[in-house]
Amino acid sequence: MVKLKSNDDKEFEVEEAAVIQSEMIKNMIEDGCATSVIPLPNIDSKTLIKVIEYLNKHINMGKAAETGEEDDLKEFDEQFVNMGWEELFDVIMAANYLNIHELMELCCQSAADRLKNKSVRAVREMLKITNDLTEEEEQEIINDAPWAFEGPEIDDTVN
Amino acid sequence: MGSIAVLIKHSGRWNYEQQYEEYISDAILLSVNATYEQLYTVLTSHIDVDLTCKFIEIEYQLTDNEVKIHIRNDMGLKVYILQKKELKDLSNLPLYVSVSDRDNFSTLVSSSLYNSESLRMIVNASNVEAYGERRNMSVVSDRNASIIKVVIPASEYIYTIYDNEKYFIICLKGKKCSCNAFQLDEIPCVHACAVLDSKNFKKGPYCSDLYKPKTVLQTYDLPIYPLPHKDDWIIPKKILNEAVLPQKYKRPPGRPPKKERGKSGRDMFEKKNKNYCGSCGCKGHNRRTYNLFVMEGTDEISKLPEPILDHILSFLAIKDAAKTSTLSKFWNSVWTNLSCLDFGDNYLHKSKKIVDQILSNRLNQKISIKRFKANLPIYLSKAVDDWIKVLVTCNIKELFLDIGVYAYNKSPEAIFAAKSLNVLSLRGFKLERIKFYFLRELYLEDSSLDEQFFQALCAICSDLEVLSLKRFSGLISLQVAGTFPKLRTVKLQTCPPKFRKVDIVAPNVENLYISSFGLDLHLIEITACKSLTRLKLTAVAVNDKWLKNLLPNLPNRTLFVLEDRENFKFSYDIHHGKKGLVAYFDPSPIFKLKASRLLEVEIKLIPDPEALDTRWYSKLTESLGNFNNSTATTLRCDYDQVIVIPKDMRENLLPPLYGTKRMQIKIMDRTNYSIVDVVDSLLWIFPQLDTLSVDKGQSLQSLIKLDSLKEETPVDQMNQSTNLEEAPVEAEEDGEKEEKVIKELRKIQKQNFITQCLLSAMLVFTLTWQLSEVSLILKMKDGLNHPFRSIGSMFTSWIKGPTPVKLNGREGDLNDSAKQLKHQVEAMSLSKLKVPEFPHMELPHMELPSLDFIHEDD
Repeated sequence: MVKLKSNDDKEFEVEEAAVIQSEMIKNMIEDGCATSVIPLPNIDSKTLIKVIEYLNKHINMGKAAETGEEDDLKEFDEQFVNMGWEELFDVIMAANYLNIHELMELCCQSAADRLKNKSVRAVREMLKITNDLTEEEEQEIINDAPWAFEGPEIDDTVN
Repeated sequence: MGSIAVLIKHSGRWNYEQQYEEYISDAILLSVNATYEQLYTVLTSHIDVDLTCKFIEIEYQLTDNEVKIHIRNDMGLKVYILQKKELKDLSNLPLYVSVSDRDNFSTLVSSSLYNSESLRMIVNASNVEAYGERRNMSVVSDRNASIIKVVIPASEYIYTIYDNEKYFIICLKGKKCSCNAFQLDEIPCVHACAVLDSKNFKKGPYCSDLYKPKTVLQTYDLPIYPLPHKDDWIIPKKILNEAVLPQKYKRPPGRPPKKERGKSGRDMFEKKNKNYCGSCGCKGHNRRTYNLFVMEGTDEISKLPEPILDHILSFLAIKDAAKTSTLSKFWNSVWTNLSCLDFGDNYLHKSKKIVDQILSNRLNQKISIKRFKANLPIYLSKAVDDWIKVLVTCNIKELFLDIGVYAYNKSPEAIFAAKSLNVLSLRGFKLERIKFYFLRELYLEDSSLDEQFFQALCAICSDLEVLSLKRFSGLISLQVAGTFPKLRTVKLQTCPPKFRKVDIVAPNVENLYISSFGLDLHLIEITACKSLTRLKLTAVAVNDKWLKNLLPNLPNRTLFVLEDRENFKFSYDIHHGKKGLVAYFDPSPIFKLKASRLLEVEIKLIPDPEALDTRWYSKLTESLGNFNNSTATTLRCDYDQVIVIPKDMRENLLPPLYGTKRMQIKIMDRTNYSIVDVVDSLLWIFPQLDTLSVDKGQSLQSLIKLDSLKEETPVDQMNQSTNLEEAPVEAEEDGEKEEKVIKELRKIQKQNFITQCLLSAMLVFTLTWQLSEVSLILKMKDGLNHPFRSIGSMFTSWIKGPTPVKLNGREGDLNDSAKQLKHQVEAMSLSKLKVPEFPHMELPHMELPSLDFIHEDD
């Protein structure tokens, strides 16, 4: 068992088999630095719970692939990324920090999927982006690459 | 310059009166410009010394009975020659040469260095002083001597000095002063200087010899030996134990100085208690204006670092990525620096210009490109070379180019300039050579290859991890001979008709997929691949002997799939379980390998529903018989027909798996037969079965059927004859488990309810009976309190009882378990089902009072 500590001082016990999916912690364990609690100052407990949930589910990737649980895992992943933007970015940051490649790919893919085919206005609203470009600048960018902004199949809904 | 004749006395020894005895005299001619090394070699060859174990020391004496002076370097020799020049007579200043063992060297050095007696003597010798030193050295104290007023002699050596209203006592002989500076520094202090000045003495002799150049030179005369490595130092424990602590903070006396206020005037005069927003807790707005502020205030995705954003955008096609450039300045810069350009499928038909424009932009701004993916039509093939040139300058790492089937049968020379390419995926190119030393992944499709190319690949790309060839041509065999230590995945898809041999020696290959065209490929040597975890062969001709050789060499836990395109009636997943099993299964007559005892087999049956005839079933039973010895069997099939063997056949055939005790069955669709039929058939196939697990089903109904069957159907009767001790329904999915638990709970609840009804009826009955007996009224009063309370608790438990069951059963999904976690963070029990306390627990309470009554009655 390995103990992880989030930045709000909550401790979590996780099985070693699960936690070594994180390159960072794996290295720490190999170097013998993980004897007591591993503090994770960049991750809050809410995000850490999410990450641990993922790790526990993915403990035995190989095993799952052999038996028929691959579909299960896919379903779980789909459910897993079904969260708000902010939460998703927290998980991405955590995955990046802990160096969990699979999780990183999963979340980035999900983020990309959400941006796919969205209009600029919709994306701005979804991500609450402040537009600091002046109208001239914006027009200039559009003139530079007009091909990106044409085509009928643009989704203007926000979700 | 000329030479000087020098007398040498050697092979003698020094006696206690510092006389050199029993020596041999000799003479050499010493050049005036001779170096120490020359002198050393001349002398050693002259006296014939073995330099490997001995060394010589060269000394001379200025006058008899004076201390010896060593010559250890060029400087020492120069001093000697200077003096020798003045006394040119041969007999003056002879050189004493003594030979010592090397082992004694260090002790000798230390003794001669730290012998203070000899040091002082050297300093005193006036002749020696002449070299490299001002004759009358005087040390001038840096302290102001003018304040010293009076010097009063007490005796010849002792003086009293009146300095700044203080008296100091000085002893010149002992080099001491009551101010202590003289003793410590060993340089005359202000007071000593004043005394010496008043007596007109020189200050030089009163300084410590340590300050004089002679001593300094003497100190470095010795060879200084290099230090060993830090780890080899011998450090005394005392020093190691010393903890160096920082100085303790000491508060200086007095009031601390006033600091300038960091606050600006605005901070000072602003309203003190600020309002916070009710919904987000931030300053500067309130709940009513929250939406307005948040809309323009917090910017979620932009807080991500650019590399991560870059990674997210790399999943998007070029058009979507380009659109993000108008979001904000930050996004615009992310777009201009985007490292992965994915032009997607069929996009380039429209606009070659776009690629040209983007690439030229990157080139002008010197932005490196990590990945380039394009799918281009044939008529653009001319542009490809230009693009590749740009990409190479942009330091491309991963290149994916697809120009369709055999359209551009020419090798793209320009690619070879990309020295640091890691991933290369090409479709429709002809490759003749390869030059990428850092290539990790290579995917080739519709490519024409030859032996030469493959040999070059083996020789150069030692970092290769993934090798994938699809619809290639030109190769007859593929031989990988240990030159790819990192190779993990090999895919050979749709091998050409003439392709006959695969020989792979790569210890770290984990995944191997080979699919052939027809059954031409029949020689596959992979026994050296010791870490295979997945092996999939499709339409490959293999035989019993090959399997027998291969299987013992495969590691545990290998997923081994063999497919046969021609007779696609069966497919077999040979699942190597934990125990190191070896086996193969096939109903067709090609393979008849008996399963070993340790085997845990997993058999997947994918039959053609049309073809389920008598022949099929007899083949099935025959092949199932091969697994008779295995400890556990898992059967997987899509339809229940597959496993229900017709009754008339059962009479004619022997049960195939009479040895198997444990089996699990997974049926995806079970609609044609009732569960009774299925279990009946299974029990015929596995007559000795003691554990049967059924893993199925999204639908609860099938489970209930199975469950009810367990209790009422003929299976119960079969228990006696077939040793079917238990037939637990081990449902594997969480959902199923929960459903099952709910069911059981309900059952228990029902039972409890009945028991409670009976008990309460009994209570009431006893009560009325007791009431009729007047003599027992008092005693009964006593006892009445308990039963009422128990009845009350019974009623509450009925009401409360069902709710926890619902909660746990219906909402046990993962999101909720995460929610639970929030509350009890310490207990990391994700998705674990909590069994609620059921009213059953309260039964003992119920019974006790009633028992009391019975006792009282007695």
